[in-house]
Amino acid sequence: MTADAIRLCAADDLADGDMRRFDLDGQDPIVLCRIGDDYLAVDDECTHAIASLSEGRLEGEVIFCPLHGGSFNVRSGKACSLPCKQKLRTYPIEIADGAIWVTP
Amino acid sequence: MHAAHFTFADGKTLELVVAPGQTVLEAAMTIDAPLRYDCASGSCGACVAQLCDGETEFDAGAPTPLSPAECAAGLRATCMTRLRGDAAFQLPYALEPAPSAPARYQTQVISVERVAASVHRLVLALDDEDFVFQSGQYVRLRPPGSRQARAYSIASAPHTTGGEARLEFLIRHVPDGMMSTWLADSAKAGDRVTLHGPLGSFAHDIRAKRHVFLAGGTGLAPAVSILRQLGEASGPALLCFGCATPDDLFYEAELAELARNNPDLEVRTAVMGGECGDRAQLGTALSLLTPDDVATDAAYYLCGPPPMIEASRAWLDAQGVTPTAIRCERYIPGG
Repeated sequence: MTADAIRLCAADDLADGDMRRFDLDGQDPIVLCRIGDDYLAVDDECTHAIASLSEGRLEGEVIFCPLHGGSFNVRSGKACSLPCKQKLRTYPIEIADGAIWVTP
Repeated sequence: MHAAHFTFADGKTLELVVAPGQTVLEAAMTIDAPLRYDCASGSCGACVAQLCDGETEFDAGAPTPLSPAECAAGLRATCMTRLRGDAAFQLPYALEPAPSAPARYQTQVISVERVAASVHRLVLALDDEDFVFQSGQYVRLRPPGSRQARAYSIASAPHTTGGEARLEFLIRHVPDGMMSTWLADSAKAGDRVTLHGPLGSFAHDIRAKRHVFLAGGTGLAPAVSILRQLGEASGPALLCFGCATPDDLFYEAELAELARNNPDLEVRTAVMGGECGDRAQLGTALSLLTPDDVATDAAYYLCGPPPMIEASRAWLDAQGVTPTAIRCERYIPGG
């Protein structure tokens, strides 16, 4: 496992289709999304305006911002619909010992 | 494909190619055209333009920030507007000087003070020369520890020199509101506040010979920003400012100073109830306006809550003021 990986939660803590925000010390908040057995982490803050994406909704691989309804693909980080244009940062995820680890 | 032709307030022009199915704003965003917008979803009104020629389509049931009267007068929210053919639009703001593209900035609280029972004044410092706004614009602010942001008009005039900018805001108290609670309980100098902006297309009409502002409560902010920027160059200007009660009155010294520095500016103040001697008349911002104040070469600026805007618009309409001479900045409480 990557040396500076940080444990987020147990793999079972997040149900399929769910997402959760994590505030890591000294880092921008990230949102962890579970799609089937895949765990994906992106920046929690929308790149358009100031809004927490974890307060929006996740449909398949697409996360929708609660403020203006723009969306991003959580696998690639790419913006999918206006007014979002700039992509989200994505973070490497590892699964080890039944837990989800992120490298910020 | 249809062409959308835009004329800015300063006469500069821009032509866009709008693909079938695309909204006018989507076409603009695709090429990063200098059209202002915010929500891009039919609620904020920042992308509104005046349709001068051509036919447009609007999805039935889609949200719109405009009243039926505004639509009938040709105003269009470009984010929700599609074209049936080539069209021409007039924009309410100049292309130059242009504000910077909206972005996120870190700011620092310089001061926070309660200036009336229901209003705080917040001053933020922003040490980034990239941030350039035009008077009348707003930003979104997120206090420390919060996940949400709220929109506020800037009350200060645009800074003319490089380096640190001081931005002043007037923030209405909303019971249990996120921003209000932070301001009342914990905000202090040095706190970090995240800012997104500059946003919005509310601007003074550079072609108007006189300016009439109707401001309700903290709707005073964009009016003051514009008047501070124009200074003595404003030409004849009238500011009608209304608050609910004498305890809600604020900025009396600032408005007196504005009027002192600009002999062409007249300031009238009203409160809806309570005893306040000669500080204000009894009434509303609108009741301060008389038919004698109406002129064909004037621009009218309505800044305040939606009921104030609608009442003012109806009164101006009855006086024969054309809808194109009226500009609105709606204040919707956000806490």
